[in-house]
Amino acid sequence: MTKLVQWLCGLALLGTAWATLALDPLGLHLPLPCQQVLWPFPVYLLVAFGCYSLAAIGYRLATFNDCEAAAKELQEQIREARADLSRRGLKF
Amino acid sequence: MLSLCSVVELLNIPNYWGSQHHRVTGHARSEAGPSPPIIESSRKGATAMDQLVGFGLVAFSLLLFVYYTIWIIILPFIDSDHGIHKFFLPREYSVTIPVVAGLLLVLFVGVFIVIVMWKNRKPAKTD
Repeated sequence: MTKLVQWLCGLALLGTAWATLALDPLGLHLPLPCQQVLWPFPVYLLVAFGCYSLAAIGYRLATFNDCEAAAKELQEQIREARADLSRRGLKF
Repeated sequence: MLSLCSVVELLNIPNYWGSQHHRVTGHARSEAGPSPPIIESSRKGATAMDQLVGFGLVAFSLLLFVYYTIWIIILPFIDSDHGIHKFFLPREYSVTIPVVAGLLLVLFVGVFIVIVMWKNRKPAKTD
């Protein structure tokens, strides 16, 4: 079973659970505040996920550090490659 | 014209993810050329602007999450004559505003893609 099918099954399960409780086909009447919380619940999950994504992006943007050693090594390799290429006749 | 990748393989330059030492070649470095245009900041990390934007995003999303949680989950359990209800919009907007915002986001992304693809179109060649 692929990951996509797994996710779709999970979503279908949650969707049917929500529909059973919210559209009330069985006739069991939940208390009114619970019904009022339940109706926007999928939208709430989406908004919560969006907020989490935004916060994660912002936090990693703010705490991103330079990699000094890797930068130096990369520039060293660039210099070596340039020198070798100009030795072999490639014009820069 | 040799490609850079094949030259790098020929020289057996290790990639910088490995832990091998460099083999310093003996030729002169007089033709090293200008230094690569990599902007080096004097800080060892994100610039002040990056940190401002990053933590601003974190604060904004936290605020949004708290407001939305109180609106959706906590308010139905509070009596309707409590004063807190005047800080929150009527409940229908708690669904319409995110849905409309999501549709606007999809619209902007689609328009952006159309603009970029329109700019990069190549006229058909008549070879």
